[in-house]
Amino acid sequence: MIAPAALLSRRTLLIAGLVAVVLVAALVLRPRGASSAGAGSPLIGKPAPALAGTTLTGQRFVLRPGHVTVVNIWASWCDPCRQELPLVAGLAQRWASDGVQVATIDTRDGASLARDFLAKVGASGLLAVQDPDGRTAVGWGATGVPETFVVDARGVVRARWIGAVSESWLTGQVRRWSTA
Amino acid sequence: MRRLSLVVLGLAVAAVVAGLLVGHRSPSQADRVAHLAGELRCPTCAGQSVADSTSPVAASMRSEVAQQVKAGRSDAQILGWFRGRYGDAIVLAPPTHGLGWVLWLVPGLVLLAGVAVVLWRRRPPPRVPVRPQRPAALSAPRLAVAGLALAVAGVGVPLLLTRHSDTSAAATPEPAPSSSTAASPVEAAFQLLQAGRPADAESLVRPVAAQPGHDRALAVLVLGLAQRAQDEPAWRATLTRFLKHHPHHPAAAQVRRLLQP
Repeated sequence: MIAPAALLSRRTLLIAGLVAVVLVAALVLRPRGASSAGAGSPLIGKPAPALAGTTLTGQRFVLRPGHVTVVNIWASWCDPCRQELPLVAGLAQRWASDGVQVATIDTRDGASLARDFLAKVGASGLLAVQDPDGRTAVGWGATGVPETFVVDARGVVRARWIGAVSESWLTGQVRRWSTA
Repeated sequence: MRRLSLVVLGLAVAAVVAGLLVGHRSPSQADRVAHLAGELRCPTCAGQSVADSTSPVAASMRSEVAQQVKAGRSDAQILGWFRGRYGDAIVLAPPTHGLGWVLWLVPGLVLLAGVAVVLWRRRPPPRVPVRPQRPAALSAPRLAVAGLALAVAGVGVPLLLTRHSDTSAAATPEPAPSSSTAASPVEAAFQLLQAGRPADAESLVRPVAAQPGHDRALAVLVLGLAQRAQDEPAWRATLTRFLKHHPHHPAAAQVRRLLQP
């Protein structure tokens, strides 16, 4: 015969086990708090991937440490980029005298189309490295366009933003890593 | 008689070895690219591999895989390269390190737990006279429900853990719109073509038409139509190439009509 106390104990143990599983899951899966780094990326805290190639103006560009650098990935066929690029271009001009560099990757795009697009949105001055087959963007772990990364002066990736970047986030990140 | 048996056996072994050698030919580069693309998860699609997806990022990832295969990198090196940029979840099979091993162990553990429960329930009843009592707290239906709950928790939690261990999971300080594209380059090129901008369409679609991928057929078609719209002599060759590789494409009949002298 099984005593009622034993039955209770078995049931209690079972329920306790399930509760423990749920609690552990909740503990592990809890949001890690609002991260000022924006979206996560395995690249954060690691040396920046290669960014080298020919720009839309025909010059050779290689990303090297020494400046805080904003890396923005875009394409002329991307609607959110249309809203975002004027902001990025404006900030690039404003930061140029502070030694902050803005380099963009024009991914899976045609050069003439991209140049027209930049002119149309008032962002012609942007440094844009051509990435016709999308491999440079994949090297940065991009999942689409637009995406933005902030790289510190030592060449370490510090933050990532997915989607059209906001001015407050970008200026906050640049300020943070310029003074770090 | 014995000698004959030995000869037959020898021939059989030789045939098996020859079959193994023939069947074990090394895969071509295209085979490896297709295999590796099938191992990678498209980061913007629901449950599709990079091989199956037509999204721009999947096409870019296929290009990268092809380039790395061409450069002589091993499968492990290539998958590791993608893990380093997108996290472990970019590979469809769970990893065999870190939390990933839990996924491999859990089904076996759940099975063992089930067997243990069944064996435990089948113990001979105690010999002490039993007085009528309320049904056991762990009756068969309850056991089944509890077992199901444990199985769901056992499989679901490690799955979530593995997804969570992928550092690409976003933790955003304010709503950040997920990466979005208005259209793929090929769709955008098609729209440009319809809008009377064939030169722009051609420059946009040419890189896509030059590389392997699911959107290549459409890219070659749009490229050919864009060239035709600009009276470029290459349009016939481009559309013929499209027909050669995709004779049963829905647009094939119309393309054949265009090509008729």
